[in-house]
Amino acid sequence: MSTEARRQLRWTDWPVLLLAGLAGLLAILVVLYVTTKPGAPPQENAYAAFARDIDDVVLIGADGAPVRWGDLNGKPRLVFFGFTRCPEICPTTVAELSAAIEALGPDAADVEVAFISVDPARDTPDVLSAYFSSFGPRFNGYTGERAEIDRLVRAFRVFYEHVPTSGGDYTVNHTAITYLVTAEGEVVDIIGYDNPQDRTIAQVRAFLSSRGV
Amino acid sequence: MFTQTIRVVAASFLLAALALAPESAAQQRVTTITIEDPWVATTNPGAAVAGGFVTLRNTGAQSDRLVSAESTRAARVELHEMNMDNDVMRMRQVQGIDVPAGGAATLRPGGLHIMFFDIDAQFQERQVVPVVLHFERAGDVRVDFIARPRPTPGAHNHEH
Repeated sequence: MSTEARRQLRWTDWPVLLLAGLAGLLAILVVLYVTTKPGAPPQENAYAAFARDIDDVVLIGADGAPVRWGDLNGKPRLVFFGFTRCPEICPTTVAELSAAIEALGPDAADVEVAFISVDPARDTPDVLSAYFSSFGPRFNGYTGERAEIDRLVRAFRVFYEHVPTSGGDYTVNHTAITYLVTAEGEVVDIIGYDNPQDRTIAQVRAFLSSRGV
Repeated sequence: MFTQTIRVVAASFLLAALALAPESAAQQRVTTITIEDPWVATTNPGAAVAGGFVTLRNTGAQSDRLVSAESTRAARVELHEMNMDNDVMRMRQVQGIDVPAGGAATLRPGGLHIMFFDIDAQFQERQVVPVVLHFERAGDVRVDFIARPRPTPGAHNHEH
């Protein structure tokens, strides 16, 4: 008798409770979905604090003319800090970015690769101009006063140091990150040196297509 | 892959002496260094520096050491080691590269390399860059480095 009563309870009350619970859960999920998915505020940008207050930094372009950082706004940019007397990281990065841009074709038509020299004394406009001559108009080298370069370096949280080698020469240790900078001058993503090329292409594609144009 | 085996005699003037010396002494003076795949990365126009890569194999019974190098294509050649440290590329000059007996030293992108400073002209694909490697025991070894592009972009990260 008691088992019968328990079974009755199970067969009548439980499904009702269960259904009510499920319906409630569903309602909560729907509300959550509606309030967060469409038109919800974008994910917080981990690099939001990068590249702030540098619009007035004056660089020297490969044509020898001064250019303000703020003047580069208007185009999405891939920004890299390096030097032309760098045997490996810099040419490799330039080659990889070039290959990624080529792979993206028309999608990457208006992107600029901005190579900021951390060896501005030796990377003269002429040197930079020659260095990027075979990469097409999207690749631009920038040099300038060390103090101006250093303002960019700080704003991008870049590390660099000049290290003496033999014969009075020096080499430069430096951060090997590519920064993805929107046309408005905001850093939204970064590409590390060890990034696999297919991921680099995917990141640049996502970056270029997320600009709302 | 370019492989050239070069038997190197420490110094030619020793040969005469060794001809009269006991055989064991003669063997000690001879090091066998095998040079595998010597190549330099092609450079961007106007670039003043270049990196050279090679595998040095020591099939002899005694360890050897690459102590310096020179090339007619560069004002200065140094031995360098690169490493990545928290996204920072660091470069340092090394005084020598050990080639253990029965072992090898591999100079490759991302690590040890031969660094050419102030090259006379752009290193273009298939060009030959003559290099003299100075070994502690093996003495001078002439090696032709062949210029070729860096490995396919993205491939460098699969090596470590």
